[in-house]
This record gives sequence, structure tokens and C-alpha cells, in this order.
Amino acid sequence: MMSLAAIALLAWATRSDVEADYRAGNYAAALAELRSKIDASPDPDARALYDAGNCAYRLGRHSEAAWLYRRALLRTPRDEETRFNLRLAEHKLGYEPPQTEPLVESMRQWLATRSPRSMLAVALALETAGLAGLLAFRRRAGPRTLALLVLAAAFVAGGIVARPLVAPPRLQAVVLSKESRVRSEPRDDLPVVLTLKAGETVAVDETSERWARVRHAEGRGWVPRDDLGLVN
Amino acid sequence: MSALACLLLVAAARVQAPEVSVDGPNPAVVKLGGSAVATVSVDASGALSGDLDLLPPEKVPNLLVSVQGPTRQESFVSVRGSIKRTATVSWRVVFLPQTEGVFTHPGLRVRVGSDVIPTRALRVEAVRDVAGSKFAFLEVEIPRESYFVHEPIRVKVRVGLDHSVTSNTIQLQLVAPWLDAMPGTVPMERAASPNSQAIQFPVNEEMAEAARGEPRTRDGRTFDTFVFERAFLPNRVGAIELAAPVLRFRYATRTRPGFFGEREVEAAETAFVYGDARKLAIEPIPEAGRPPSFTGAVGRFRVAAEASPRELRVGESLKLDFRIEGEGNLAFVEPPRLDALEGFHLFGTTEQKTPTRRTITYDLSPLSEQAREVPAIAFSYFDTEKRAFETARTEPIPITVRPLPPGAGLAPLADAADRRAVPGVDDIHDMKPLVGLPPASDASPLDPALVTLLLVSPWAIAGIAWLAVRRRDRDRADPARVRAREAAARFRREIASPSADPASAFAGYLADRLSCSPAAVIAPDLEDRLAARGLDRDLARRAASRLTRAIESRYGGASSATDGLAPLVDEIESAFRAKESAR
Repeated sequence: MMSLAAIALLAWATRSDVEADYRAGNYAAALAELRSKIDASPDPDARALYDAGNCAYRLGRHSEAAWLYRRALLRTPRDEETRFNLRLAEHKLGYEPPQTEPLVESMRQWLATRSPRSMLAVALALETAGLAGLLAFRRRAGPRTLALLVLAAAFVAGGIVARPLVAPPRLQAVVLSKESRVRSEPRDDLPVVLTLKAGETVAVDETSERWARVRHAEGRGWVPRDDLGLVN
Repeated sequence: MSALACLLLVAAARVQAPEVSVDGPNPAVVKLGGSAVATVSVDASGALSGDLDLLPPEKVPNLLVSVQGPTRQESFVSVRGSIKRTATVSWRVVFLPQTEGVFTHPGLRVRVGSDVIPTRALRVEAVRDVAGSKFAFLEVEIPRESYFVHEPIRVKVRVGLDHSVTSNTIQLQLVAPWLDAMPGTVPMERAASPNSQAIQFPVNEEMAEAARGEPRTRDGRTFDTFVFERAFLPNRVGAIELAAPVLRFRYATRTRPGFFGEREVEAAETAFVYGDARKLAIEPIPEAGRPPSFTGAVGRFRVAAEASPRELRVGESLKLDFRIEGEGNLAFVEPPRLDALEGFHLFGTTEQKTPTRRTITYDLSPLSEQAREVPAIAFSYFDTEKRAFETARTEPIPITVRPLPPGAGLAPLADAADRRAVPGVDDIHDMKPLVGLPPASDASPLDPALVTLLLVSPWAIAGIAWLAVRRRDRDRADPARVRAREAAARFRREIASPSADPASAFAGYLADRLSCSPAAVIAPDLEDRLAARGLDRDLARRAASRLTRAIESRYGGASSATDGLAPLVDEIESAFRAKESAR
């Protein structure tokens, strides 16, 4: 109990130092303190990542900020402020989210902010309602169709819940360097097939000591590992 | 008929297969650095389609093979009044050994139409030229064997020529492919030649300028030296192997005075001299201790800053010159960003670059008279000598900022509206209080087994419910079936009653099973009706007789009415059930 209290006290003291540096505009010092904490932890907490993202943003290092916000969002997917800060950092980098239908966008937003547990609850509720409706209204076409639709929605929700369990999410990374050159093979002497800009998000298929094989909407290939910050 | 014609044509083509001959390689023994040439010729006088090609030569380790051509020669000769055409297609194949030794090429392949005709194997021997080192030397200076990634590798190549040979040299060429493209590196900008007595000679295939160095004395002989430098920036970790460079030079051994008094070369000789092969190790920059402001600078640097004017009003502009000097990857370094310098607004930056210095000029404007100094600017780099990260800082520069005259205000900045940035609208949400972030626990992964169980269980429950509903529906549709199914249970309930009438209970049971009223059971044809419902004749007879006895006992005609009735009902029920399940 005493040790837990000591850890909490230490965390609070570190946090107040960082906050003091941040409020005083000493973003580099605050970021250094936070990065040392983040780098030392195998599973850094969302607050440290969020704060570090803010420091990086204030220092004008928007790609680093985007990377840190993305890592924070993995831990707190419902946090609207982190989401907003990420959008602003990406906006500074010149990326705008694609324009989609408001309904689709709100659906996407809603899904993105659901935790696995809440999605499971939704899937179970829909599944139960659909099956009950199907049993109760098996002779009435209208309600039966409605029950089938509810059941289909349950399948979708169940799929969303089960997908990360069946196929773990692909590694994602943010380009941290000013630009990163993608080559067809992990060799510097091969021609560049694509150039990624700072802050762009890519899927990572595999990594070696020096290289990472990435997948981007415009192509795929190998980039120097040091150019990327892994999100998950 | 046509098949026969085809066969004849094919046969003719076989007969007219061209001859392929190889001359060389000449010379068979070459000095290392020199080349041998083989000529592959094909007699194309026959009825060829012109579809001739020399296939790409197979690779032999440490032997470069290049093909030049083809060349076509055609001639027409009159033989006894008729014109005869002869044609030859030839290729020149150059063999360039990279090391000493004997090299055997498995042979070249000429494609003629769909046929591939191989040549004989070709042999080239390469030996070191021992004579060349008497007249020249070649040195490659690379200060260290190990470098860090992004640390410049400076290569100095020194060519020494015997003073007596220098004036007689006709040709000079340095062959070292890595000087053009060192593997795993990017070439850095070349510095201008340090002195005016530079000479030019080919390095690989391009002309390069070498500065004249200090003469050297070796074994009592004076050598003129020529130096040229290259710099490379390694961009990957690992080993870099640099093959031994070769200097090829041709000098006049005998001359004579020409018509205009100039010297004419009467005899000349080609010689080679060799440098040493090198191997470099490229180490990664450590992750530990990497400062957040590190932007990739590797080397040793000094920084300094100057500001002018030092006295200004709020909103006026001052120029801050930030200089980075030193040895390292200066050209590739990202300068510090001062966008977020507190108390100042950055209008923009300009930059001046030389190979040894970069000067970044920041156009800053103090936002209030509270600004007392331009803060120290930090510049982090990886010091390759100390093998550690260092942060150089400029000295803070004191400035005097006078307030605006009374009534005057700052004009809005070009990139900012005349309003404050609003978090959540055009600015980020700032740090949160300790209770700010929602707990992260709900983002933790789920147990796959639990998810499967939870997702499957509604289906299992629904399946059971469906079976129950289906049974209920079937019962509703067929009451006689329900009556028959429940007949035995009803019989047992009735027989268990203290005032039970065995005859009535048994008749009721049989009535349930025969789907008729109890009164209709008692009839002479009961045995036949039971048999018609699937009971075997013996059991049907026993049932009919037992019912008769039970009725008789009601009227005092028999005793022990319930004896054996329950087992008989069980037997009848089993028989009915067996029949139903078989159906």
C-alpha cells in the first residue's frame, strides 16, 4: 500500500514538473522528460503520450506529435481531445481527412470511439433482439424482415469485435523524418519508388534492424526503420 | 504434300545453320587493370532471317564481361559471272579481370532464329604488373576503418608519377568504381580544387580534377603527386568493401623530334599500379541518450548566434544569425526550428550554405517589451569522437525592447487573425488535469474464448426455444397426437387415485391411443383395431382380454382388477412408441 502511494506521489511529482515546464513554455524540457518516461515503459500511459504530443506540437514537430497522439488514441479511443489534436497536427502537415457522407462519417466516428467491450455488448444486444424477433414474428413477414436486419447488424458488430481477435491489427507507423524514400528492396542503391512525407501513416508488414516494409495507398516497399515511429 | 514441303524447308534450314567462330581472348594473359578482347563472328551469308543475337554472357566472379556490337559486314563478289553475297555479323567481347588469377568463361551463346549456338569456353589470365610500381604509386587515404551512419567518409586518393615519366605520360586513368558510387552511401558535394595547378584525368569513365600535391621521394626517386578528394555519407549500417583501385598509365619510352620541333612518340608502354583494397565498418547511432532536439547531425559542431539590432520596439524585426560550423554532415542537418520561441514571432528564415558553415537567419519579432533576451538556442549532435550525444548552446543575447508609443498597437500578423487561438477550434487542447483522460482499461483486449462463448450462446438459446416452439405448433395442429402421447401419463395418474376404476382408466388409455371415446373402445373388434394400429396380434389379444376382465371385475365377475395392468400398459406404450419412432 505504501509503495503504491509512493509510486502515485512520484508520478504526481513528475507530472507537476512536466506541467510546470509546459506552462512556462519550456516545451523541449517537458518533451524530454516525457519521452524518457515513455521510452522507458513497455506500455506507456495515454496521458504521457498525449502530453508529449502536445509538447511536440508546440515545438512545431507535427509529425512526432501525430505519432504520439496516435499512440495515445490506441489506449483511449474515446478521447475526443486527443482525436482533435491529432487532426490539427495532421492539418499542419497538410493532410486533411477525406470528405465522406455525414452519415458514414458519424458511423465511422461512433465505431472508432467504441471500446471492444462496448462493441461486444452492442453485438450481443442486437443478436438477442434479432433472434427473439425472428422467433416471435416468424409468421409475419414485416417484423421478420426487421428481425433479420437486426441480426445482420449483429453479425457486423460481432465481426468488428472478433476481427482483431482472429487477425491482430496490422502494425501502423507514422513517418517522422522530413521525407522517407520507399524502395522496392531494402537497399539504398535501388531507385526510389515512392516518397513519403512527414506525418503520413503507413501499415508496416515487417521490420528488420534497419528497414521496414511498409504499405501505403500509393504503393509499397522498404523504408529506413529510423524514419518511422511505430504506433502499436 | 504441304507437310513434306515444310520438312524440306526445316531440313534446308538445318543444313544452312551458320558457322560461329571466336577469335581470342587477346591477349590471353593481361596485366591486372587491363582487358582482353574476344571477337565472336557469325557467317550470315546463308538464308538467315536476320534474327541474330548474342545472348547476355554468363557471370563469372571477379571478371567483368561487356559486349560491344554487333557489327555487320557485307560484300559482293563476282564468281564466274554470278554475284555472290557474303555477310558476317560480329561482336566484340571485352573481359576485364578484377583480381589476379585464371578466369574461365563457360562460353558465349549466339541465338540464330530459335537455335542457340554455344561457343567454346574462353580463358583469360590476369597477373599483377610489377613494372608499373617503379614509375608510379597509388594511395587511398581513409582516416579510419570505422564510421557512424551519417558520418562523412572523406577519401583522399593520391597518385604519384615518377618525375621523369610525368612529362612522357600519354594517358592516365584511375579505375575504382566505388569512387563514383560507393555502396551504402550517398556522395557529398565536392569541394573546389585547392590549387590552380590542377590536372584532369579520367576517373573511371568521367574526367576528374586532381590538385598537384607536394613532391615525394621514394627510393631516391622523385615523384610528382596529384590528389583528389571525395566524400560520402553512409546511410546504412554494415560493412563496405572497397576493391583495390588501379591506375593505368601509358608513357612514351622513346621519342623523336617532330616536323615542327615537337616530340613525337616513337614507342610507348602501358603500365598499371595498384592501391590497397579497404573495408569499412558502419556503426549505427545509438538510441540511448538521444536528445529530443537531435535532428540527425553527426560530427563535431560549434554554434554561435548574433542578433541585430539589439534595440528595437515591440513588433519590429530583428535578424538572428545562427551559425553552425564544424566537421560532419553539415549539409544534411536540419537547423533548429524557432516557430515556438516564447515571446517572439518568427516571420521566416533564410540560409547561407558553404561546405563548412551554415548560417540560418531567423527573422524574429518580440511580442512584448517583457522580452529581455533572445534565449539560448540548443543544437544537438552526435559527437563521433566522444561517441556520445552533445548539445551545443548559443549564449543568450540581451536585447532591449521598447514599448509601443501610447495609443499604438501591433498590426495583426500575416498568419494569425486578430483573435486568440481557441483550443478545440484552431489550437490543440492543452494538458489536462489529472482526472482529464478517460480510463484506458476499456481498451484492453478481450479473451477470444469469452467472446466466442458470448456470441454463440444466444444462438444456442434461440435453437432450444425454436425446438420448443416447433413442438408446440405441431401439438396445436394435431390434438390426437398429444392425446396419444399423454395417454400413459394420464392412465398412471388415474390408476394412482384411491378411487380408481381400472376398467375406466384402461379403457381411457386405449381410447386415447385409438383416438376414440372410451365407450367406443369396448367392442368385440378391439383386438383387430389394436392390431391395425400396429400392436402385434398377441399383445392386442392380451389387451382386449384384459379390458374384458377389468370390466367384468367391475361387476364382480373377476378379482384383482389392477394386477398386471400397469406393466401391460407399459408394454403397449413401448410397442406404440417403437412403432411411432419407426414411422
